[in-house]
Amino acid sequence: MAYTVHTECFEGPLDLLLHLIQKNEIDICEIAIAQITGEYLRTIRHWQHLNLDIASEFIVMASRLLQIKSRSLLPKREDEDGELSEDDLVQQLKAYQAFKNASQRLEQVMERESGGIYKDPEYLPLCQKEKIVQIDPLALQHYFERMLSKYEQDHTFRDPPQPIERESYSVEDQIQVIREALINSGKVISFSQTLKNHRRSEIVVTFQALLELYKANLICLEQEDVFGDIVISRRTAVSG
Amino acid sequence: MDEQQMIMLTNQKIVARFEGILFAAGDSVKTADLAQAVAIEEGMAQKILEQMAQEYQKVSHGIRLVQTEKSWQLSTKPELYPFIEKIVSINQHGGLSRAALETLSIIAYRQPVTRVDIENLRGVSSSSSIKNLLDRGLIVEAGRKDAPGRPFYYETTAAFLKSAHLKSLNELPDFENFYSKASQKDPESIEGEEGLPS
Repeated sequence: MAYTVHTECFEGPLDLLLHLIQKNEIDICEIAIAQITGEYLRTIRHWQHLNLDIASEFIVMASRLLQIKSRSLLPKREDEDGELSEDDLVQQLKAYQAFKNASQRLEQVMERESGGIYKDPEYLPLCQKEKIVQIDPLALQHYFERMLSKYEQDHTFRDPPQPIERESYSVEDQIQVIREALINSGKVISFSQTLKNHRRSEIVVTFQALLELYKANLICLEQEDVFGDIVISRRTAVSG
Repeated sequence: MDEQQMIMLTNQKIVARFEGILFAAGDSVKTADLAQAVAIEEGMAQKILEQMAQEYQKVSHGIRLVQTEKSWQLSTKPELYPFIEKIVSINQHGGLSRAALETLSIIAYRQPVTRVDIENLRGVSSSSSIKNLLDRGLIVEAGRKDAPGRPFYYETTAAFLKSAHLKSLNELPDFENFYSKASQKDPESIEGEEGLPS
């Protein structure tokens, strides 16, 4: 049966190297690295013995250390490529140690700061001031009258009682209606003139028919202002 | 009342207004906005806010005024946490892992940096630490490096400054300090300007 053993936790091979250097109370330098290579390898073997998963970075570092050590045993050559020289590793270790120190300091400050409580932004109930809106009384009158006339058109009181029939409109029929209306009126006709009952379904379907005709490039459409009546005219064959 | 007293009184009124605004906002408020609200110049506002921050440091205040870049925010004093906790239950973030702290300090000092820069320094894969820091909003992606793979650059955020109690990145302790052995054995020796118990 395998047991999970918690050993000292190292953040990586550099961390382990630093630990070994500090344990032996030596300064970070070339000699130190050569000195601790053996100890580094023993630690890794010990972990393997404990069935610990060893991150590949630790193995890479082991081979790097061995390379440095073996090179230090050989006489120095002038044309050394020096790709993984111990000097690089010394610099890397020193920089890593500095960042480790910095992170310890950061941890202290952040831990202390975590006790400081900030409020969330305050969400006060909306109490926006009302803004003054400029309304032209004549325009208001104009739109009110238009609305009334529309209402009268749409809701002229018909003799009661009256059976309510379900009316159905088809786009094809309405296309025909618009075409006939265009032919009868000569050149131009307004959208409202094509409607008979001003029922919602009629308006919608007729409008669809209008779009179909427009898509087919058979008519021209004009609308002078928003919500104004749409003026339909036949597209002249010349321009098409 | 002489002129000196007049100025004192006006300043005190502005202090009261600032305090009111900051309390009502809860969120951090820009110096410029505060200045505009009471119709004084930004430089003057900055001076008054600094004086306020100093005043709050007195033992008799439970609130402090924290500056982050060009904004100000009220916060409770960290040392009061044990008492506040008894009344208000707060879901605090757990601390950061050592790996995340190492990564964060590398980004803080070397920004903008890429993941590869960080991993070269630490000698281990750091992507999970980076993700953790991104999730907590302590760092952000800040453009891409014009290099193969177009890797992201990472930078620290205003939230980082706040959680490290820094007004700006210029306030980070001099990195050279961390090369010396003394700082490592006794990190408290370079701390304590704020005079807060740790």
